[in-house]
Amino acid sequence: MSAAGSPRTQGGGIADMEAVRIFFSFRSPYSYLVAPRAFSLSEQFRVKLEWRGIRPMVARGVPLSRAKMLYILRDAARVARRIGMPFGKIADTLGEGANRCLAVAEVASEQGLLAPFILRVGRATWSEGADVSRDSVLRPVVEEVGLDWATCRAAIEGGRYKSRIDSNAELLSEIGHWGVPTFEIRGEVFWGQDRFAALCRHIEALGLGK
Amino acid sequence: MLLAQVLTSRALLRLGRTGASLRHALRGGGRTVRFFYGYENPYAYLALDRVLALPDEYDLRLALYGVRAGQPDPPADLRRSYALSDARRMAEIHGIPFLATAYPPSYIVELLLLLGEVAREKEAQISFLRRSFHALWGEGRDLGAEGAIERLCLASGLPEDAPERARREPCYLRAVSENERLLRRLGHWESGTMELDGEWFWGLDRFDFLIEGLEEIGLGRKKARDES
Repeated sequence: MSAAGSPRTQGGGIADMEAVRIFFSFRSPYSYLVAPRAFSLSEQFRVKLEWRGIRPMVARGVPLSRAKMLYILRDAARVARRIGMPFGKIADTLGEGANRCLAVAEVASEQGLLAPFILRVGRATWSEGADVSRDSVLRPVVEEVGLDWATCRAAIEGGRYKSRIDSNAELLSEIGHWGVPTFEIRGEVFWGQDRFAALCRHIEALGLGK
Repeated sequence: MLLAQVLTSRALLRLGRTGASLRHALRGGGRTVRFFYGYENPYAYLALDRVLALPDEYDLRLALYGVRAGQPDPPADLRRSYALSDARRMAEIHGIPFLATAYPPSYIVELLLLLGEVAREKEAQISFLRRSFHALWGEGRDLGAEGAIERLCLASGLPEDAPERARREPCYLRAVSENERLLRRLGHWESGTMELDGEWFWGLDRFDFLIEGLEEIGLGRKKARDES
């Protein structure tokens, strides 16, 4: 598979399964909070998850006010408590941290290790304060999920996935959206971890239940 | 990192709620839930009935504030378009009528906000809010049609000349501006939000968290307490 533009799917390895696209940012707490449910979609439905990593909103020129940022942090904390996910010791991934995670996610996707990587690195950055912009911090996370550090390091440095990541943002725009996490199936868009139940309901209505 | 830990700390949230409870106990006043509504916001409509029912279920005062929408973050058109279709979908899930197919024109939004202040004066605010939001979003009624606003006023217990008064007298616009200043001073920016002791709950999606907050500070349900 070529590096640019091609989607990555996860979920049973059945090529002709219906795809649910997930547009995901490592700097979005709600992306982190929905990740375990997103990666379990294929256990409940005849769908596969199509990975679309997205750069942080502010890096894409979408503004975020201080008041909104504070609200999001407090809100994400109470949502995390409710769904039993660790949260609070946060290392901001804006910049190098998010870029490195986006590159490693592409490697993980190629190697069938996307879900373990996303879940592990999410926990590291949102609840363990791990600064993944540093090799000494990212490397153990990567190796813990079974990825080869040298391959990941080459992906980070080589920029091999840049065009694919850019095309993910373009696709998000094409489907008429801007935020993350966003799910899309057959043109129907669901924005936010709050809409995960509505997404499941929609997939069920499409007759894709197991 | 430390700031994030402080902001998201459960212990601190509990401490804040306990402090607020003590302040209220010392002052002898009851709890207030503030609700900031805006007619251009379909999510405010979705939350409305549950918010208005709060004083029936809990020992609290409900304070209602009409605000105009700020400039939406870009891309504003996409946000508005998505919100409309998403709100329709959520209305269906929650069993809330939703027949509006477009956003109301801004002159109607502004007039309804002013009328909300007239209604506050006439102690008809709840009735007016319920009827006006339902007409606009639930029934998708054209409130710009001749006589529609006047009929809405009469049905809500407002005088027939209320629209004229609302437009003419500057005190109502000043009241709306004051509501907006309060929203900003308390740290939020958007309508469809509820506030309790400094904690914000944005939209119907966070209504359960508000209830959790009310119960955590010891505001048991009226019915449950009456039965005990």
